[in-house]
Amino acid sequence: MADLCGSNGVVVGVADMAVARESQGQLITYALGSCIGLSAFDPIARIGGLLHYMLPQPGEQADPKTLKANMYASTGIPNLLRRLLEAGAVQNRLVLCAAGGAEILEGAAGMAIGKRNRTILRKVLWKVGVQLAAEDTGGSIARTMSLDLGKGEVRIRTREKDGLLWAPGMRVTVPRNIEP
Amino acid sequence: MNYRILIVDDSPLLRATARRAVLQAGAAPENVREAQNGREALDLLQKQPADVVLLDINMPVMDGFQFVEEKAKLPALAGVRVALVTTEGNRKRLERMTQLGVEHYLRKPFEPEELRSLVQTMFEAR
Amino acid sequence: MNAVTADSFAGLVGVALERMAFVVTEPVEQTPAEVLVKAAAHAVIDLSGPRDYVVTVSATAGMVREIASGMMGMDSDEIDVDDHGRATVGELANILGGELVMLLTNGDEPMALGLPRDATDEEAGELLDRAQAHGFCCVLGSEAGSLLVAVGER
Repeated sequence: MADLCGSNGVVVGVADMAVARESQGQLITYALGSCIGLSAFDPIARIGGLLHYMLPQPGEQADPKTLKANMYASTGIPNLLRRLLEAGAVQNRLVLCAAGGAEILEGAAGMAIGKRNRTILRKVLWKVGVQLAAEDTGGSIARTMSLDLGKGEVRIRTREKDGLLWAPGMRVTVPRNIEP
Repeated sequence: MNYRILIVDDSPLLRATARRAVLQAGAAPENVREAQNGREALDLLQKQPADVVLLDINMPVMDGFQFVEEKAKLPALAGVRVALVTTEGNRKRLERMTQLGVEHYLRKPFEPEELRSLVQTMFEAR
Repeated sequence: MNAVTADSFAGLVGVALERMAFVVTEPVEQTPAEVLVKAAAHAVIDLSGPRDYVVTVSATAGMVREIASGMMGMDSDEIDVDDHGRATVGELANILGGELVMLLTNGDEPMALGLPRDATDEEAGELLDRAQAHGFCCVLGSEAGSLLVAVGER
């Protein structure tokens, strides 16, 4: 489960997801290597969510009863959207941003988890019918992603940079796979 | 949104993909029509114009090049805007299409999100 | 005209599948004949120019479902392979034929791409033989299925 981080934020761990309101400050997730962080924010309802998924989809043998839905894009993304709608967000108002999907492990040839995670992200969003406003994915270093629930701003930090990925008023454009 | 779209492609799979992109871009379902070749497209447009045509090139009966040439001869269709969605990459042929008023070009294989963005761009520029 | 190798073309096939259908593929151990035998549908397309080629696409049922469902935003189990198989391999043949034209010409030289058409198992087998004698083949696999693309000189 996501943890409270002091009184000013909710930390979303690996294979986890949280939905929160403006009063909770921010949602933040760390160590986005090959994993992907997906944030969603409804600027009218002032509700936001953040998912940190590790893998594209469960294996065919996975037991639905014990499956950790937020570990996977195919189950976690619909989960995130459902929880947001249950909390009062409206789907066509959501601003979505993504970060991560890097190729971190040298010598992990043939796995390319980061790339698979980026591709499944595109696939699930296309299927659900929502689009990204911005993304900072690919490359080879880890990222921290935060969503400010008051301002709606999404910030990305790496060891080399710290900047806004998206803020209200920015045009919905999707730079693809920016190198850090 | 009131934009009227005509999707012209002989592939039912491509037409279904394009329909999805167009609906996600904000078109109303009743304003989206399909044609399987250039001849069918011209016939449909002369009965009821569209605002935007997404046009394949490689089709039977009448291909996309012939459609654009024929459309250019019909003043009633002058306001119909055309985007090519095609495998075609020959520079000379594409220049000819631009001279005949084709506005946009998206080469297959495209990302479906790119097609959605192209349609959104065409809607916003109207 | 540029030279084309199996590896360079296989790279384009992989990129095309990922871009259009969100399918991640990689080279697999299966032989072309093994994929051909399991294929649910085949399509053929001709290229005409300074040299003539024929491209044959053969996909297993799992690959058809994955490609069609990805493009149309559906679940794989909503795809009826009998309904969508021919359209899927047909459009793939169209796209990959176009990619081969670009690889050969860079968009500069004129080269005509025909219309995709269905092929029977027998015809696909003959075209595979031709590609293996005068051309090349690519075999790609995903988690769901396999794809064979055979390029032969006409």
